[in-house]
Formats: sequence, C-alpha cells, structure tokens
Amino acid sequence: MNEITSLLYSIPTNIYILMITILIILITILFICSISFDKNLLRIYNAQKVESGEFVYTVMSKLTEKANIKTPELYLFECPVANSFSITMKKRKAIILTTTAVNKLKPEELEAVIAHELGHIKYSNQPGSFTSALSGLLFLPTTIALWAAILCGFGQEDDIAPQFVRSYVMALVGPLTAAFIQLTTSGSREYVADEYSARLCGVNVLVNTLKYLDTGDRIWDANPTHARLFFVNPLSDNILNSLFNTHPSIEKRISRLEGIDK
Amino acid sequence: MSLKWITALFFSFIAFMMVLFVIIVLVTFYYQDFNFSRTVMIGLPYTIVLIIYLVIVLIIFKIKLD
Repeated sequence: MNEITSLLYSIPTNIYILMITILIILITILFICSISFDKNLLRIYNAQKVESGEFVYTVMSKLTEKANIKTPELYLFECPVANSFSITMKKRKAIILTTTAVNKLKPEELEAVIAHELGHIKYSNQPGSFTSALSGLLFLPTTIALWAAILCGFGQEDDIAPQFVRSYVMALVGPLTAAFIQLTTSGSREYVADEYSARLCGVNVLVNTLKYLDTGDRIWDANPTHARLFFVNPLSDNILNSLFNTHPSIEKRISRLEGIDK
Repeated sequence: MSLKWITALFFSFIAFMMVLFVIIVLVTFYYQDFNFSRTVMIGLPYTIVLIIYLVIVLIIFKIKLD
C-alpha cells in the first residue's frame, strides 16, 4: 500500500494542474456545445435550408396547417439512405430530411415521415441539447483515436488498422456513453410520434413507410450518439452499435400502429 | 438477454483489462522490478471497480434493450 501511495506522491504536481485544466476546458466545451447544439448538428451534416415554395416545404406547410402548429424550419442533407430527424430546442424547431427520402419516397410516405417529426416537435420529446452534447463529448475519444491513427500513418479511414484503433477506444468509452444515452432517452417517444403521424396521415401510410424503410437500405455509418435522433435506426447491427439502439423494432412499431387502427 | 450487447460488454471488459496490463507494465518499469503484491494492490481495486461499473451498465442495458 505504501508503495502505491509513494507512487502517487511521486507524480509531479504539474500533472494534477494539467488534469484540472483539461477538466475546465472540457466543461467549457460542453457548455458551448450544448448552447450551439442545433448549429453544430446542421453543420456536421452540411444541411441546406429549404425555402418556401419548394415541393417538400409545401408538403410540410400543409401538414402544419392541418395540425395547427407553427411551421418549423426545413433542411435537407446529402445521404444515401432515406431518413430524417428533428431539432426541438426552444430557440429552433427544425426538420431535417435526407435527399434520398425526398427523392425515393412517395409523396404520401414523405408526408408520414414529416408528420412523425412534427410529432416530436409538438411534444418536444427529442433528447435535450445538454444530454446530446454530453454524450457527444463522452464519445469524442473514439473520433480522436480514429484521426490519430490516420495521421500517424496507420492507413486511410476505411483501412483495418484505424478502424481497429477506433473499435478499441469505442469498447472503452462506448458502454458508458450508450448507458447514458439509454438512461436519457425514452423508447416510447417514437410510439408517440408514430401515433401523431398516424392521426395526420393515416395508419396504413405510416405502416407502409416503416415497412419500406425496413426492407430498404437503412444502414448508414452515422455517429452512434446521433442514432437516437433519427426516424429509423440508421446503425448497422454490429456488436458495439447494438448498445446505441434506442428505437423500438419496426415490427413493434407496426403492431402498435395496427393496434390503434383497431 | 441479447447476445450482442453481452458480447459488447465482454469486449469492453477485455479492453479495460488491456489498459490494466499497460499500467502494470509501466509501474514495473518505473520500479525496475516486478513485485507481485504491488501488482495485486493495483489490479484488485481496478478489477473490482470495473466489475461494479459493468454490472451497473449491464442492469441498464437489460432494462432498456431487452
């Protein structure tokens, strides 16, 4: 025991000062990130604002009129899969759609997706900016490790060595981040938004949309901490990603919707 | 219980044990001598805390994912 104590005493005081400084910097980053969470999220996905007059905006306007709620902002971002998410901060309400959702979904399916996001906005049941920023910060070492491996010459982003380093760090920080996300995310919020969408667009349309998205290519390499924001879970079914799944299964969502219909 | 997230937690346990191995190696190099009791003194609390952490996380995932 004395040896351990002497080992701890032998660590220079500068290390403790460095640790406290890092902690203060992290708290500051957390504070800034939680304030500008909406802006950062739109920047990460390079989302472009959709102006009124465009087809998608008209679809959304009709729905907001029907639902009698204030029209949120609408954004589009390039993505190979059909999906969407919403921002429900006090200062900004926005719906963000992927370009594939707009191009591939039928108009009534697109309506169902937008109505689902309007449900999240109406009930403000998307995760808060502070918890989202904190989960992002907890998961940050994974991205740092990936880039450190790339910059140290281990290979490109898709090569096995940087991905191994990333997976190793994810195995360290992943369970804690995922547990935090699971604790701060309610699974029932998807049911609430589904019910709202079903009321606006009809149960059958939403069920068909969910079936289409389930059979279609929904897998996309999104940041696991963002997965809970999306309409359907975009993550692949690999072992570590399974921890971040906060969505009820598509089958459960459909059976619940069919229960409402009866 | 889902096999997937149990496996994920097992990987996490292995990853943390690799960190413990590095700590023991560094301490051994610092003292330029391997001392078994010192290694136990480091490894035992580390492993106990790790197991407690993993049990808490396991309970959370069992409630939320199953």
